Amino acid sequence: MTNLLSVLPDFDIQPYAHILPSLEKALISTADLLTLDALDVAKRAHVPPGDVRRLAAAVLDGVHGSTLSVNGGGGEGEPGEQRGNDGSVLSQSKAISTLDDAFDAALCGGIAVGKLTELVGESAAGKTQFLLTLLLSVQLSSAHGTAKSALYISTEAPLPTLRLVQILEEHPKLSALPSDERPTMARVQSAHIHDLEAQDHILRYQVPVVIKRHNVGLLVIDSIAANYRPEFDRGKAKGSAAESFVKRSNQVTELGALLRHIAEKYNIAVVTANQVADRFATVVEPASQVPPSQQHTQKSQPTSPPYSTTHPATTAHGAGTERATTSPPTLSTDDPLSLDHQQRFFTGWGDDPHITNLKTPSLGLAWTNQLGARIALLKSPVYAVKPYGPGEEPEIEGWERRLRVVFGEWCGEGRVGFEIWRGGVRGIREGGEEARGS
Amino acid sequence: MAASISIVTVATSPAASQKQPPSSHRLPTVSASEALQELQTAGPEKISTTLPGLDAVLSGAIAEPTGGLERGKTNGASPLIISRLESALDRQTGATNDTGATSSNVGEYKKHFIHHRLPTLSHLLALILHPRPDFPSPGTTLLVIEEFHTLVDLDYPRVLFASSGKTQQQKWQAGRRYAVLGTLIAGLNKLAVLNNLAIAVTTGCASRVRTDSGLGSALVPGVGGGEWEGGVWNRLVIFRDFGCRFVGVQKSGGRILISREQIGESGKVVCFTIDAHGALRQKGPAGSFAPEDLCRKVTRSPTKSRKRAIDEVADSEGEQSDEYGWAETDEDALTADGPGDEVMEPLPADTAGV
Repeated sequence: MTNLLSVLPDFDIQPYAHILPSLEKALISTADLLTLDALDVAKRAHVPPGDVRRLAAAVLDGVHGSTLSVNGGGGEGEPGEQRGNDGSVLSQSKAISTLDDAFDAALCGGIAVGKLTELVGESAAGKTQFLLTLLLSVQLSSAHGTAKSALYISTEAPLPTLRLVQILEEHPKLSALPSDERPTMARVQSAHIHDLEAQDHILRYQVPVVIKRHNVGLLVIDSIAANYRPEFDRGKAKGSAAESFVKRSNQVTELGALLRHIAEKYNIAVVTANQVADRFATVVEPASQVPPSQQHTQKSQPTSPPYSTTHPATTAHGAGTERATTSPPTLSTDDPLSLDHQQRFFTGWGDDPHITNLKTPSLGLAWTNQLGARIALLKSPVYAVKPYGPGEEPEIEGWERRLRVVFGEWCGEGRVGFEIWRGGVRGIREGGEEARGS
Repeated sequence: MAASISIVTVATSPAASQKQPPSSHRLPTVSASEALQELQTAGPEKISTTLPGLDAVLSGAIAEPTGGLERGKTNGASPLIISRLESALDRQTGATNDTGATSSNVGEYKKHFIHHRLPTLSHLLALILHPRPDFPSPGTTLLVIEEFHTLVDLDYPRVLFASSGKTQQQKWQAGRRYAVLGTLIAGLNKLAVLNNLAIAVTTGCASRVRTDSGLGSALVPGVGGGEWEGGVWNRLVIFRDFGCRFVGVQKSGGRILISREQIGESGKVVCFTIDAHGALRQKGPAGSFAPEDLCRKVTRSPTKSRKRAIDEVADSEGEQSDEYGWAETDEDALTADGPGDEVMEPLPADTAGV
């Protein structure tokens, strides 16, 4: 059976060893065994029906035995179901703090344990800086006195150890700890993955061993998309592009499921970093407010906001998404379920009409469906305010960075401005001091 | 290896109908008057969604905004969810006793939640099709299955239907996805009827290319197929827009409310927001709207065909698929027009003959 041992790892296949190869050849899976009548399965695979019936009964017993059922009221170890009733913040053992109060507030306590989180942003947006802080922070959450380690898997550049040391020395919360409680570099394991096959093998077979041996509490993969890109080049001779995309979507789905399984089974947090690609939104303009000549010029900008600013009923949007309570809620387009439109809300870029540079995280919708939370790091240039000559490009003075929690299973949405400094990343309070550059 | 999904069963006060003890060897008989009485005193028949507009659409009548069971979903923040509601029974609402949770009652309510962890599709199939005698526990009125599409996609990933070089075994396997879904939906319906439950299944979305209308891809339910869609009683799509979230009703009371040809239709919509505590709150007037009333009139720039066919962005008309969609699979597999329109061959005959 093609997936019997992944469904029931402890199943004893000895008594059925004579029929399993025929079942495999007939491409019968465990689910088929449970839904089809034993006689049909036997006819397909040319095996005696009595054996099939016994196998099905044994599988059913095994599956019933391995289903965990928990009553929601008993025990405190249930992070899931109580969420709806009280908006409680995750406790220390269930979240890895980001060592910054603003970030922790936006994340309702930190990065949740047992879930798959994604950190997505352009290059130099600050993803690695964020992850390095997490590598140190996880060591602070220790149960029963054994300190937890972190495992950092890189696919592009190796772990920047010098920067990690710098963060360890300069971060206010870390340097304030007594020396026996401080995180150490010794508890950060790192590995490098070169290609996709190695990635699958390492994640499936070697990572669980490392987790158990070193009491790992956090698995970081930086970045998850890097190994996928060279695999699906135009140059591939066999198979059409469509087939390779379908194959890739299935691989991505399996990868997501594998990572979530690791997170749940070993009760660790899994954080992946992801890259972005540019996206051009289709232009949809409101009628009758915009004179035809203006319509024409607007069409040539692929990323202009979807509604004209001259529309009188539009209340001032600014950075918020709440409309005035007096006007009834309206759909901004007559095609609300188009992928382009909905992408504005789950990628992290696009639901603020003032941002014109839209990005899409790699690996697509199949990967997004696997995530427990997505954190987007947005970066927009700040231009120097000075008189420019004609034809001169505006000079970039610095970058305005924002962290957005796009969606999350355990926390609502939120956004925090932040900056990168010697001690890692730190959030900027609204209206507070902002140290530009450093 | 797969991550588990959750099933949550919720019990209200034990007013539900009686279940026959499974180990009884006698043929239990119930007199007609007893049966009638049981029907009338059975527990709440309909679970309100706390959004009055939505209740109105689902029941076809103006429902009173009773404080029903809170349906803030654990994944409420994720903007892409299609949820299907199968209420097997559609009678008038009895007295519901789960009003808004006060802090002293929260502990009580938590006890009513039972959480099952199911790592694979096989576990779900075993739970539903071959249930143990103690499942679902007595007094259960709501069963929620979350993130169902992930389980199905792992066991039966989508395949490109038209790819060549398939053996007969592979062709059979390719059709298994929809067959298993059909069996499962029949099992869920049976479970709902026998145990007087409502079952809600949440799935994520996939995307499908809309080549006929020339628009881009649209979001469609992650789990489809003729038998599944025929067996679902209500279907809700939850999506977002600037300012507010929307619930669209695509199917209600067994009738499909959207046009079959157009992909990506949302049906009647109700606007809501999720507040800081996770409760749903309806925005706008108490009714529901057809989407045409709501949106401002927009003119669309004329659709342009691509200037150049690019290999990796397979968007041209000839290639019928793109990074997100599998047009061929869905269009070929969705052969059934809906319940009653076409007779699907019963399963055993189908597989036995091949």
